[in-house]
Amino acid sequence: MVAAGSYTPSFSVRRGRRRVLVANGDEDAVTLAIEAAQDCLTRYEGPVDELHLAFARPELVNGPQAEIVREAAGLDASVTVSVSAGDSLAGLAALAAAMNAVQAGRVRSVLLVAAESGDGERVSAGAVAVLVAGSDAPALRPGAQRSAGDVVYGNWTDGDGVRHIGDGRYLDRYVADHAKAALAALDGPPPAAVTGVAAAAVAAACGSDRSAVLPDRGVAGPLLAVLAAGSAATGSAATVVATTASRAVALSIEVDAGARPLLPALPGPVPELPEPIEVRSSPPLSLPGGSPFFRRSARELLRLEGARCDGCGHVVFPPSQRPVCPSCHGYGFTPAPLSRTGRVYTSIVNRFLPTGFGDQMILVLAELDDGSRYWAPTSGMGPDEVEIGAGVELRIRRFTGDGGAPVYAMKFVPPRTARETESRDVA
Amino acid sequence: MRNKVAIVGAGMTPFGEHFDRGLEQLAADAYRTALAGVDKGIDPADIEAGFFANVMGSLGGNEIPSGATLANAIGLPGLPVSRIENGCPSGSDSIRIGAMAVASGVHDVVVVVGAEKLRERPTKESLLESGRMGHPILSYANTAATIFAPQAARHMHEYGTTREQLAMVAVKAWDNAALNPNAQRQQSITVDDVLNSPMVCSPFTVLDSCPQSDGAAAVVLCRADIAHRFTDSPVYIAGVGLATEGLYYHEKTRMTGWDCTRLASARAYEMAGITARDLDAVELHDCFTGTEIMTYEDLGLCAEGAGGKLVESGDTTLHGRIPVNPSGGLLAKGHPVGATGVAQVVELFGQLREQAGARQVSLRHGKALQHNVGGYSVGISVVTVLSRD
Repeated sequence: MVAAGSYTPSFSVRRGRRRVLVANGDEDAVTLAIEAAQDCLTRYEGPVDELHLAFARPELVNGPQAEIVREAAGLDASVTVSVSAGDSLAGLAALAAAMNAVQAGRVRSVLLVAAESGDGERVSAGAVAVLVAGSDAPALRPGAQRSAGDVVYGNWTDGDGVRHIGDGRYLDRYVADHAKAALAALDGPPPAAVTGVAAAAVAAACGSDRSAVLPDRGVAGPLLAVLAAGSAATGSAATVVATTASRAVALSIEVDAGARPLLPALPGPVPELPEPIEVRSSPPLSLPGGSPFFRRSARELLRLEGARCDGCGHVVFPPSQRPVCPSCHGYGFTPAPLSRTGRVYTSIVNRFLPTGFGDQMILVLAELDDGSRYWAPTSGMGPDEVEIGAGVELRIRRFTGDGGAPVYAMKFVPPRTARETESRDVA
Repeated sequence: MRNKVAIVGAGMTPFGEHFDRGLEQLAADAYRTALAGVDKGIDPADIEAGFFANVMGSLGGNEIPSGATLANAIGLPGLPVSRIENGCPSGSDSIRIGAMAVASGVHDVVVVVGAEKLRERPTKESLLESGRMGHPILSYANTAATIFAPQAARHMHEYGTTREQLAMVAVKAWDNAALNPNAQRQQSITVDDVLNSPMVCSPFTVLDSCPQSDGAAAVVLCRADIAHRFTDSPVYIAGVGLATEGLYYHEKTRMTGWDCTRLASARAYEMAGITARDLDAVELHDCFTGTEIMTYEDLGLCAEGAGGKLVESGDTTLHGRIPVNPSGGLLAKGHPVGATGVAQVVELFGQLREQAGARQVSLRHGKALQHNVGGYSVGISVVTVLSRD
């Protein structure tokens, strides 16, 4: 593992003593994955041969979502994509597959992204990306991996009789038993990071102290745990345990001496909301998501890619609708990505909206840093943040998800500098 | 225009909610009124072609109308009729195309009818339809307000135009409409009324916005050299101009007005051989108050940035230096899209013939200007210059 990236959404809600991170209504596992992938790729210059995505929700498997992430992350169409989904250990399975593929020399590098949309109750939203490459300087090397688990349909039998996992006490004990078994098979030290179901009980059973317990980040959790343990164990080995309600996985990680920590920078404290942002039923677009239109325009919309006239240098957008240069009337163009940061040139707050569009919609025309302009709705911004001259940044968000394939394109968000960032403990 | 074209008859229905009249009935009402307004009479058999301005059809958008709808509505099946849909300038473009058909020598007498039924669906549904039009991403959730408000916001920022100045446009429009029996609004309002009405899309409130309207309007055009058969006081189409501009916001060169209006008016002024100073009256596209202020500038009625001050000065009121929208405009007379441009010409036909009654402007030069701007993302404008001689 030679590089890592992450994305944490901008809001949280309080659930008992915990703060659970929640995504905006137009963020989902796909947009979170795109954010983390882009973050990771800013720290890696080499080629990417495969993109592997891990989602917790199986409904994300049978669409073009993986291809959307590939396109938006700027990866070439020749990059093979695959998806693991099913439970929160999907990311670890993908990691093992990636390591094996690289070690076997089948591929040079794999970008692995685990994205969790969260549940607003227990599981935080967020995504983590890891670049696995067969270079001669790997920083983190997962070693032996063992898992333990049972087929469980609500009940299981222990020495004292039939137990039901709906009873929290028994679930904790059951999961902890498996975790201990997995760790014992590895013959590793007490885990440096524990994540997943019954994490506190697992940590106690495995001899770790409470600081090893990470908040539940769903499918993103195990990869974050690997990175956290690895960062804390430079030049030595560490173990990680990740659990679901029926399975526990233990890994041993070796960290090269002198390796740069791969723990991704996470944003600082995020504003707390009274309740998770309700995912509104999105209004239909003028074309269904499955329309060939979105296939034709995927690259220009997902990458904000204009076209520069080969004759005079004029940049047109969107290229699919501007085949002739309005400046010199030439026909030859070369792709030209537009800037993704800029300042508000003019903005409006629409309060009289078609049914399904919510109570208000803010739309911004921004002057981008390269001098071009772009018009888009905002995401997670208030009217006071879009006054003329205010800084804005374009990021991929969902436009609609109803009635077919979801559609993703750029929206304006507060600029990264305003999203107070600081490196902090994953916990 | 090289071969002179005359308007010899004009008429319109009242604009408003016509729940009891369909598109065909409104179109026929306007047609009958226009024919009845031909001073020396006209035989329908004299009409050689028709031009039909309409956006939504008679089923509220669930059809693709053609010229046959108008031909059948006015009892002339067999008549060659083109249906013209060109955004908000559909009506004025139909007159332009009708005038070109006459000027080219193809037809001697044509009728232009604009008709629209916008109240066939609930407002929320038609808004949703609007939000679903155009590019699914680059025109996402656009409504009429969202495609005119960004310019108004920028104009206020650059030139210090105030919300009060915007409101004065609406006050003027309603005052004029109260003198026009065909207008949808029939009362006066105050600046405070406008400012305190519910916000639609910043900076526009409900009263900064035109209503949705049903209605129709019609004019009869003919070769100038045969106009005397129909009337002793025709009004001539002295110049027409149509222009387009960058469609999406990011393609526009400025956000304080519309290049297409500048270009269309320059073409019409040049064809008519006049300047803005020669105008006695203007009917311009005040779909929102801010649109009128910026259009003052684009038409050359005042300097760039001075539109707010122009309305504040009172110069554009009925008896001001250059009366704008004596009919009540789109804001208060109403905006049945296909009919709008035709109805503006109907108003100016009356003004130039000094038949406008209580809202008659004083004529010095005998010239008037009609203007529309719109189309998806506001990329098209039509300007017509009318003349008494």
